[in-house]
Amino acid sequence: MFLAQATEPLEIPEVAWSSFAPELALTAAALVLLLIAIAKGRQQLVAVPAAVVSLAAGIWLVTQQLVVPGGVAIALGLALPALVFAFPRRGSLVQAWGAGLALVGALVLTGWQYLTVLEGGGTEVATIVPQAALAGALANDGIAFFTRITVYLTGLLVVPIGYGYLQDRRINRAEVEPLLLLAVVGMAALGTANDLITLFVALEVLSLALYVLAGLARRDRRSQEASLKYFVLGAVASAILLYGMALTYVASGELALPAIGSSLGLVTTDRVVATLGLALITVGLGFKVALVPFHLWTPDVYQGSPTNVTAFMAAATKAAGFAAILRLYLVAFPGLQGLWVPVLAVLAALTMLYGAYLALVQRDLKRMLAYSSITHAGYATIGVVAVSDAGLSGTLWYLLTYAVSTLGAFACVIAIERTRGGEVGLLELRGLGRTSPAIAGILSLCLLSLAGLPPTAGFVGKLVVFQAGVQAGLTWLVVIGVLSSVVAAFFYLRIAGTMFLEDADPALPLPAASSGLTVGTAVSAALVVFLGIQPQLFLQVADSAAALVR
Amino acid sequence: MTGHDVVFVLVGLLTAAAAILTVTSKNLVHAALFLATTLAGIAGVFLVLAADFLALVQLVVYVGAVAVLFLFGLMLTRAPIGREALDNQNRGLAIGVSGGLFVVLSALIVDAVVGGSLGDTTVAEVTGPGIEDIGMAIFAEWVLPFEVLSMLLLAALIGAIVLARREPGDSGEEAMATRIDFGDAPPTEGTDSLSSGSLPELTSGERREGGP
Amino acid sequence: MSPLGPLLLATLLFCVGIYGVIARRNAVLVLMSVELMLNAVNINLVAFSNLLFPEDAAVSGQIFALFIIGVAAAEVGVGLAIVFNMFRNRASVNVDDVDLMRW
Repeated sequence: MFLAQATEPLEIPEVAWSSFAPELALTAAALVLLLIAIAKGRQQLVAVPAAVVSLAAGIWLVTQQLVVPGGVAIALGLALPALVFAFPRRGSLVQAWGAGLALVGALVLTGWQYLTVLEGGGTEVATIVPQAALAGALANDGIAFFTRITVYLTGLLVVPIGYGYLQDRRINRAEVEPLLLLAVVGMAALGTANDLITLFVALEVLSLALYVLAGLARRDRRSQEASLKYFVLGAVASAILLYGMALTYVASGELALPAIGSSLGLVTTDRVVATLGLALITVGLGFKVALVPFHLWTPDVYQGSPTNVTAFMAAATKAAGFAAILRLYLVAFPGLQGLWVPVLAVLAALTMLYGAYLALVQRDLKRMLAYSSITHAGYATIGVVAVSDAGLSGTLWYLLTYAVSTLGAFACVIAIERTRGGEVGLLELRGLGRTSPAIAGILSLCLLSLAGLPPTAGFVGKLVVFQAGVQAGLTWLVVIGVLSSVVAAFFYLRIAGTMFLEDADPALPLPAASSGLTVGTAVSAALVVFLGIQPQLFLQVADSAAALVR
Repeated sequence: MTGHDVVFVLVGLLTAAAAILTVTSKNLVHAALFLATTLAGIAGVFLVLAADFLALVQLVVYVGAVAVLFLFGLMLTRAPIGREALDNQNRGLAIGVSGGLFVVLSALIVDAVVGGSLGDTTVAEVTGPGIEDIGMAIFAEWVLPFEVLSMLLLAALIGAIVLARREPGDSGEEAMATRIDFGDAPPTEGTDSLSSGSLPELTSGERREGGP
Repeated sequence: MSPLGPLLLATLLFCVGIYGVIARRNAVLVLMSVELMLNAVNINLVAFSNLLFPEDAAVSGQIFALFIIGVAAAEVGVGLAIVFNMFRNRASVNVDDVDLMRW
C-alpha cells in the first residue's frame, strides 16, 4: 500500500524562478549577512563559500542564456569577499554595503524582469503583458513592478541614510540590515501577491520586521512605546483583516483574487457576507496605510521609532500597503464597486483634511511629518477610488514621488538630530538657512515637494492623481484634495520661512552629515528634482503598469 | 439534531465559556489556563468539523507551545494580581464595542445562513480533505506563501532575539564621534537599563553577569 | 450539521477578543485576546471549507487556517519579546503606562 501511494504522480508545479528573482536575491543576501554577523572574526570563512556558490550559480545562469541574473549573481559573489577584505574590523560597514549592493542587484533584476515581459519594447509606448506564476499565487504585473521599484529604491536610500545615525545612537546591531532586507522582501511580495494567503503572509513578514525595527533603540522609552503600540494595534488590525478575508472566502469559496473577483460578479453569490468581509478588510488595510480614522498609531510610532526606520516605514510601507489595496479592490472587489468607492472616497477626504489640520498644530518635526504622511495616504487613495487605469498608474506614481520626497525630508531630520541630541522642534529650525544652507535647502525642497509645488516630483504626483480623480467624476474629492494641499503648503512654507527668514540661535549646534547621509540625501533631492522636471520616463512605466492579472 | 450537533454544542459551549473567562479572569495565571482550555476546545471543534490534521496542529502549536509561552511570559513579567491591575477604565467602552459588533455580525450571519443566500448549508455528514490532500495542496498549489512563511519565521526569530537578548556591547565598532542622548545609551557597559531600584535583585544579578 | 453553530462561536470568540483588547491593560493579556481573535478566524475557515465547499475549495480553507496558526505563533514570539523589553526598562507591562507620547 505504501508503494502504491508512493508511485502516485505528484504534480510538481512549474516554478518560474525569474518571477521572484529579486526577492530570492535579497533573501539570500539577508541570510549571508546574518551568517557574517555571527562569524565575527572569521568572516572570510562565510564570505568565501557564499561567494563561490554565488559565482557558480551566476556562471551556470549565464550559460543558460540568462545573462542579467547571472551577471548580478557573479557581481554580488565577487563583491562579498572584497567587502569583508576591505573592512576587516568594521562589521557594520560590511553589513551596510552588502545590503546596499543586494538592493542594487534587486533593482537590476527588477528592470530585467520588466524588460522581459514588455511587449513591443523599444521606443514605442510598451505595455506589460501580465504574467501569473506559481499556480496563480504571484502576479507579475504593473503593480508588482512599480512596487518593487519604489520599495527597493527606498531600501537602497535608507541604508546609507541610517548608517551614521545607527552608529550615533549605538543601535547599529548586525541584525538591522537583514531585518530591513526581510521587510523589503515582504513588501515586494505584498506587491506581487495574488491570493489571500500570500497577501496575508507577506503583510505579516513586513509587519513583524517593522515591529522589531521600531523598537530597535531598546533603551529608549519612546522607541519601546512605538514598538508596543505598533505591535498591539497592528496585530489587532491583522486579526480584523483576517476575519474579513475569511468572510470573503465564505462568500466566494475562493482564495485567489481574480477568482474572488469573478465569483463576486455572479448573482448567486451572497452579497451580505461579502460586504461584511469587504468592510473588515477595509478597516484592516486602513490601519496599515493609516487612513483616518484608523491612523491613531501613526504619529506616536513615527515619532518614537529611530528616524531612519521612520523614513523607511513612511515611504515603503505606504507603497506596499497601497499595492495590496489596489490589487484587492480592483481585482477582487470590482463587483462591489458601488459600495467601496463612496466609502473609500469619504475616508480619503477625511484623511486629507484631518491630517493637514493636525499637521498645522504640531511642534515636533517628526510628528509633523507623520501627520503629513497621513495626509498623503489620502491623496494616494484618490487614484484608487478613480477605478481607472489612469487612477491606478497615478497612485503608483504618486507613491514613488512621495517616497523620495519623504526620504529626503527625514534624511535632513537625521542630519539635524545627530548634533541636537534628540527631538527637533520646529522652533529650533530658526535660522538654519543661514548656518547650514545645504541642509535647510534640501529640507525646503523636499517639503515643497510634499506640498506639491512645481518643479518638484510631488507636483507631478499630485497632478496625475488629481487628473485621474477629475476624469472619474470625483471633482468634489479633488477640490478637497486641493484645499488640503493649500493648508499643507502653508505649514510647509512656514517651516521654510522659519529656516531662512529668522535669525539663528547661536547656542544650537550645527547639523552634521556623515558621508552616507550626504550621498543618500543628495540622491533623494536629485530624484525629487529629476522626477519633477523629467517625469516622462517613469510616467511611461507607470502608464504601462495599468495592466493587471485579473 | 444529529450526534454531531450535540457534540458540537457541548464543545462549543465549553470553548465559549473558557474564552469569556480568559478575558474576565482576575488572576493572570488563571487567564492563561483558560486560554489553554479555549485553544484545546477549538481543537475539539476542529475534530467535530472533520479537520483532524488541523486539530492536531492546533494542539501541538497552540496548546503545546503558545499557551506555555504565555505562561512563561506571565511569570517573567511578574504581573500583579487583581482586577484593578488587570483591567483599565475602558470596560464600558469594551462591552459596548464588542457587544454591538457581536449583535451586528451574528444578525447578518444568521440572516445569510438561515435565509439560504449562502446556498444549501446543512450537510448530513461532515467530511473533510485528508492529510494527503492537504500536503499535496501545500506543496503544489501554495508553495509561494509557504516559502514566504519561512521568511516570516526567520524575521520573527531574528526580531525576538534582537529585542529580548541582553546587550552584548556593540559589535566591534570604533568609538563614535557624537552620541545622541535619547536616554537609551547606558552610562556604563553591563548594567542593563532597569529603572533604578525597582528590581534590585535582578539588577545586581545582571551586573555580576555582565561585569568584568 | 448546520454551519450556524461554528459561525456563531467564531463571532463570539472574535468579539470576546476585541473586548479583551480594549478592556485589559496588561500587555500579555492583550496578546492573549489577539490570539482569541485569530482563532475565531480559523473556526470560520474550517467550518466553511468542510461544510460548504466539499470539493477543491475545502483544502484551501484548511490551508489558510494552517498558515494563520504559523503566523500567529511567530507573532506571539515577537510580541512577548517586545513586552519583555518594555518590562526590563520600566518594570511594568501595562499598556496604559505607555504614555510618553500622546496616544
